[in-house]
Amino acid sequence: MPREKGMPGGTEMLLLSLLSRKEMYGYEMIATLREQSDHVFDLKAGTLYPLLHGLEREGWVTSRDEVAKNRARRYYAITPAGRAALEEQKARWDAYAAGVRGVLEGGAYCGA
Amino acid sequence: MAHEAVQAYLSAVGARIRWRRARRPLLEELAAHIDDQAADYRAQGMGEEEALERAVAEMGDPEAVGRDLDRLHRPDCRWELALGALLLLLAGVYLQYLVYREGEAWMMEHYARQAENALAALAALGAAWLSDCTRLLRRRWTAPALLLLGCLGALLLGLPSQIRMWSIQSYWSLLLPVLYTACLCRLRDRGGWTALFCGAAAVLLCLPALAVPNFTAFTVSLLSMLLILGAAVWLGWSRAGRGRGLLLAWGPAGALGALCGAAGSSHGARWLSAFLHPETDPVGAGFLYLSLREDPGRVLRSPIDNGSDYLLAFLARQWGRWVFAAAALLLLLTAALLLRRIGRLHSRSGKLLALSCLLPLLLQGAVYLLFNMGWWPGAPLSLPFLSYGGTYLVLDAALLGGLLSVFRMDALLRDGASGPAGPILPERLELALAGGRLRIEYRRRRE
Repeated sequence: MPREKGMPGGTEMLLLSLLSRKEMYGYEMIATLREQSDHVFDLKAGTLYPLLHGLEREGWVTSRDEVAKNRARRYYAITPAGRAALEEQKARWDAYAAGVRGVLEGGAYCGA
Repeated sequence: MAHEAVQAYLSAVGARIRWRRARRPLLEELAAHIDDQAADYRAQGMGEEEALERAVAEMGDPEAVGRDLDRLHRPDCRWELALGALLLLLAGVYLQYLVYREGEAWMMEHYARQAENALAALAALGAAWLSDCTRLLRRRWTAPALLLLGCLGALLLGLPSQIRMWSIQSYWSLLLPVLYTACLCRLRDRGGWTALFCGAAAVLLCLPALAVPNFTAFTVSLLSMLLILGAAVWLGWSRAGRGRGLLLAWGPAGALGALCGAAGSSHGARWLSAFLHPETDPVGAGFLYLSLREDPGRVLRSPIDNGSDYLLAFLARQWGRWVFAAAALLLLLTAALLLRRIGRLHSRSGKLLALSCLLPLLLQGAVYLLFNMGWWPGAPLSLPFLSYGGTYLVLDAALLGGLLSVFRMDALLRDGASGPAGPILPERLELALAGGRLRIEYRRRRE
């Protein structure tokens, strides 16, 4: 499964976070990610689908097909296991971001 | 020109995907994405050609995409299960030999027939295993049409003789849950009325077996379908919620049970009394139950009987009652392992379809075991893969093949309609794109 190693979170955390709000199809995810990150995350479709299918294989997202206006779309939704994974990744990301911030700002104070 | 770029892109991705059955759904998803992106560009004022070309350029390297998708979409073959089935078939042939060698020479013909049927069963298992189980879910009318034809066939073919009807209802009871489940999957995300309808349909579809009467065929098919319906409701198939959904889904079966209890015939009451208290009529209606519970040797008169309905009792007489404990343990272990594996399938439809193949096998085994111990009121169907009966052997192998097919196709099984239903020819795909159709052909490369 394409996954960024050694660093908490990554693209899969962002995708899980999007899906934790509502179910979405692939193009909708890329557009939302681009819009909400102010064009910082501009994901290629070729990167997105292997990631989504990998999440599906992990059991973190599930998908269903729907035909609307003669167009087939695959909607992805987060599963309870996916929510648990998202929470875990968020916690690791928070700790990581706090660590980076601490270093950038000259170290965290301990004690009084 | 732009359409050619799309075609070239999708062809390049598809050429990297080795599993031919996976190409269509994966390329359909990518084509829909290109379509969405192009529509967005057109809304921003671009022309048709430019919009499509830009959309393709946004997709990324087709070789890398194809490689990643190929890695994630491989058939899950589950060789260990097929090997287990093969061992059971061989064990069945050996056990039949143990039974028939005790009889007269002509009885060995039964054994020879069983050995031939084992080969037919292997062929059925292989064919079902390699089949595309997603077709049952993908095509709107396939499952309902087969269900209707099967019901009509079981009724018409069985009419000339009641004995034939008994067998036909037994065979039909094994296939009924699969087709029922395929129809059930299409009725997802609806309210409580649909749960009630499906619960009532399960009861109605099984009623002909009760009218024959073939109590075991009725129980195996109804219990399978009710458990599948319950699992569907539990997995969020109905919008009615779990509690209300289960109440509505199982309500019709409960009502039928209450009705049968209230309008119970004297014959039925006598039968039930003989089953529950065989000691009150030890040489009459209670003879079979009492003998099987206390001394199976009393009912095992001929090897033919031993080989069909009383295989476990025959073995228990030869080797001791631990045979029953071993059979129960094997059944429970198989059920636990396979249910655990089914729980890991990705789609709800896949889980339900897998259950529809597994439950008739498990219930048949449980009924056979209980009957041989004297604790099942009706006649058994068969002990899957082990007891005598060619048609049962082939049908049970086909059910296991169906289960293997669901495991194999897991990566491609989806909930809901999987695009416009058209013939799937892995070498030639037609995809919808920008209001038109896109045709991709794969040809073997000449080295």
